[in-house]
Amino acid sequence: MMVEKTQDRYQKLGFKCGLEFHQELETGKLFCPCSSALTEGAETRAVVRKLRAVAGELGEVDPAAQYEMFRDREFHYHLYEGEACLVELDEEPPHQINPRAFHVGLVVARMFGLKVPDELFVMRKSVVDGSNTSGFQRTCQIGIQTEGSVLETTKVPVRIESLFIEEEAAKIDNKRSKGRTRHFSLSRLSIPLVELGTCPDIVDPEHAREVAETIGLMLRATGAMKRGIGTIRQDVNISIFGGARIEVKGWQDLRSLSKLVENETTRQESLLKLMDELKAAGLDKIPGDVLDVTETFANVKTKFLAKLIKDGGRVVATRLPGFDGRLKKEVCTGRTLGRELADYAVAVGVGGIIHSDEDLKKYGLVKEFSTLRSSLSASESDLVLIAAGPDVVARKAVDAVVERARYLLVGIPEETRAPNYDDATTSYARPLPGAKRMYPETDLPPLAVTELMLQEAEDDLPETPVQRKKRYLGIGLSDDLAGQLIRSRHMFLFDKAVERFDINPTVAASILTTIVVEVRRKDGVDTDEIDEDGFMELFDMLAEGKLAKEAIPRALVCLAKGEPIEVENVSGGELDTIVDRIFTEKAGIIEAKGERAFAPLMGLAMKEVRGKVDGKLVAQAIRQRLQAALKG
Amino acid sequence: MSYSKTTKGLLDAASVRPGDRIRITSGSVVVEGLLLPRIELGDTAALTLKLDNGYNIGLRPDSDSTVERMDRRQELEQFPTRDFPRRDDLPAISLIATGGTIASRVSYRTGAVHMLMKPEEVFYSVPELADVVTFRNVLSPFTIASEDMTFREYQQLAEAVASELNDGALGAVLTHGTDTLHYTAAALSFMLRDLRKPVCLVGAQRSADRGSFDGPINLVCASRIAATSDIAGVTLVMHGESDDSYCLVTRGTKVRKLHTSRRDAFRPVNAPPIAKAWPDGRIEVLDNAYIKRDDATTVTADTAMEEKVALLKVCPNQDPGILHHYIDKGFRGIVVEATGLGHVPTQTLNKEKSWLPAIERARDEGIIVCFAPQCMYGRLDPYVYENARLMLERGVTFLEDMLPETAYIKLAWVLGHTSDVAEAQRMMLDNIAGEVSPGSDPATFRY
Repeated sequence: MMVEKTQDRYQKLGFKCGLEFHQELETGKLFCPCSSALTEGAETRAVVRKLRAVAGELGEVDPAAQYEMFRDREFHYHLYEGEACLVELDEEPPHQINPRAFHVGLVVARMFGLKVPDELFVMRKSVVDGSNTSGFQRTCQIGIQTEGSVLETTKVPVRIESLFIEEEAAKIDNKRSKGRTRHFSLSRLSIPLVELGTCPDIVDPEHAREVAETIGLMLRATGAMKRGIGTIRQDVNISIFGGARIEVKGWQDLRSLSKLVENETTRQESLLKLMDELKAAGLDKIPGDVLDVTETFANVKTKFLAKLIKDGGRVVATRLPGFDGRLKKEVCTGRTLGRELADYAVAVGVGGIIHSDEDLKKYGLVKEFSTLRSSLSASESDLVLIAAGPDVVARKAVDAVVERARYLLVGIPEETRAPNYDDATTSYARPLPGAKRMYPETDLPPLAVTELMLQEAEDDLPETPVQRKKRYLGIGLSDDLAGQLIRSRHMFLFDKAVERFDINPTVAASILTTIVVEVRRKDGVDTDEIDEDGFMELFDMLAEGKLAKEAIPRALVCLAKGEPIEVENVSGGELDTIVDRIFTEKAGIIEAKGERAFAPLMGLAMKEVRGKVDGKLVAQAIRQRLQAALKG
Repeated sequence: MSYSKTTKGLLDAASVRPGDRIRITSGSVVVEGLLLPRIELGDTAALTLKLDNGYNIGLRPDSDSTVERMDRRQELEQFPTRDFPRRDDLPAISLIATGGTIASRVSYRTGAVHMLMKPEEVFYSVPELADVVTFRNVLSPFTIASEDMTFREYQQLAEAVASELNDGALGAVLTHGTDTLHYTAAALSFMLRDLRKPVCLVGAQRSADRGSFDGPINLVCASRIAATSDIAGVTLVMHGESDDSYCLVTRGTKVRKLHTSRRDAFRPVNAPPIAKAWPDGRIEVLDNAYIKRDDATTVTADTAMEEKVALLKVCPNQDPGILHHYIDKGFRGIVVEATGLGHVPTQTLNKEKSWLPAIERARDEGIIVCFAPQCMYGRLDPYVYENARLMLERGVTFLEDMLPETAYIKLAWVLGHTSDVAEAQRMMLDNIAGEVSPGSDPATFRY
């Protein structure tokens, strides 16, 4: 079987994978009274800040933090009405933890069988990439592993290791960010997140997807989760034999999660193969001599290079012995080794590298590269590469590439990688942060967890997705519809509707799942705009017989547009008139087909009254009239 | 406070001390981590552990729990330091560090920000200072929070500054807690006579342990002003706005902390700032009426202070007995934060609430009573309302637009120099260190 084969492959590779599942809460912000609605309405203010690397609790500066400092950035923070205050601006200490968010955290801990520590400490996790105005993210471990904290899946049980409640980071605005300047909106900063971490028990890429989906459904059952793009993110930790732990940050698309895991595994596999090849080829070291070759490019036609040099930039070059042709090769679908190495240069602050495995004609740099070969005393089997930028930056960029190329002979460096959404691959982002970057949030006292808090969480434990689906099947929903409903944002609304109104559960479930999707697709309206009151009005009308089933899509269009539901019901008398007219006009059909005229007549009638009257009534009227006509 | 009996028993039995790596087993929960010192505010039964993932948690072991020591103590308290070698190519100033947020770090014991840090540790946080100035001397006469300052510390500081400047420092930078920074600034403004070099006071509102530490910009700007500007006198150099852009250089007698937590908490009151200063060295002078540098002049620390002075805020229904209390206690001078243009209750319906008799008693006993504006912004005027005229007639000194905190420090300093009431009153109205603005610039309100 295919599944077994896949699992075999990953088992042989020594595949290890764990997830950190992040989900935003819709409870207001974690340490101030601001809204977590994330509407980003009117911009009220912007401030410009710098951040620096700092020493932590154990007195050492984390290398990751130092690394970011090197990048010397300027951060612009934008505030939107009602969604940020002095706390987000790092101008006021945090208020006490949001009790609602905290309660949800305890509920989640109980749901997954985790032990809640007796005393909780909010920690500061150093983050100096600008996504937190303070230079740290506040986070708190509220669940620790027990024997019972296990997630059942179709393959193997996956142990749940930890649960945290933490602040969301500010969202970067990539369009506005240029050069050393980064723009962030503060609306997302400090929205509460729960982060659930699994042990590395995941056995293959598809399993990763299943685990993520299951956790997502369980969290959603609390009814306190935010919905929509970006409200759920996974960090994925992946390693294989001979490799090292790679953390892929912030993957948002559940459907392609397995693809991402597959690509990252292939990348690691290819890099290890390459290591063997290089060693077999007798390569044992890379000299990494770096030359300033700006003069060689003095009269270059290539626009961006010419401009860079004119502005005082430098071009720096090196050679990688025995690497000719290697940078063209793919490490996984869509990613060459060249791209892979270039990432390290980009992280230092240049636009990229240009190397001799590329089409140099395209850049118009054939002549320059041939000069370079002799200045660098590079042989034909060597690869030559350049980076350009301000003096120090260009040098550091080439150094970073050399450093990475050297590591090709050692293995896979531990690092944090950023996902590329278009092809589900990853790019180097920064070194892996260590535990050192944590120290206590000194502005908040430790929080003692009381029996009462735990009891309240216990009392609030939601139905699990499995229990819920079983209940839905029990009230007559099909397996498919029940499955759709437990994934739907509207499941709580469904429960209310069937409780309050005398309405067919299958009809209500279809409206909330398939029909809204159809309406959105066919009529191009945003059905997400329909609020609970809107749906309730619709169910009420259906239950009262004021709305025909056929009229549901029309009604949904009205609601989505924020208009009242138009009831264009055709009265009994009007229906009779229409049916009479059709019978008069189409007397020929009746004569020719006899009883079989029912279907075409029904079709004609429905064409006129669809959505305005229940089809059953139309059928009844036509059948009676037809029988009368045939008798007559 | 120490651990509860059960918890202490478990620790003792396993001979575990803070810093040791331990394993706690309670039922199906097994946790390993570094035992941290007990948090003062925390639960006495709970052990605080630092887990391998960096998080701290508290666990309350019960009688069935076991505690094992896995590894011996690790040194917890360390902080990197950085020495500043002297460089002859850079201007030499002196640094006097006194404590406060700018010199703070995280404490295990209290879980709060701890305000004892060596100057070398400050340098570690602000390495770029090494390219701006060189320190001919780094002094740390004491390390205390600013709210713990007394006149004695002001005297020590003034003497240290005078000695450094007279020994050749181009200027002095003082790091200080922010709560009472403006009192210290006022004290030094009066104590340092013939001061013709810059003395810059600097603090921070965000602690040094975080990436958003605001101290570095303040420290760099202050060092530049002290080393290279011609702005002599005592000034405060702190964030000018919430942005990490520039600092405001404000007169030590005309500045006040106006926000509990913002970076730009220090605002000039009733005076424009002297200048804006950027960390890259740019200086934009906003008010040229400052004393210019003259490196040849010798500064004197004239530090005599009277202990028996008080600052009193008047408010509705306040019992004038409070003034009698000070008189009974032998106080020699009292600054009253008077309402509006300079008023205290005088014509109350309940006669016992009138301050007139107490004010008269103070005058009769040779105690100086000065009024300063409770409004902070604006100037007192004793002639507009009768209340104030009654006070004027009873010998109250109306201190124009002087900040109450500055007035309090000044009164202590003046009474340290004269026991003659008339002389003291005259000195209170003399503009000794820029504490009184001759005119009222409309642009200075809520600058």
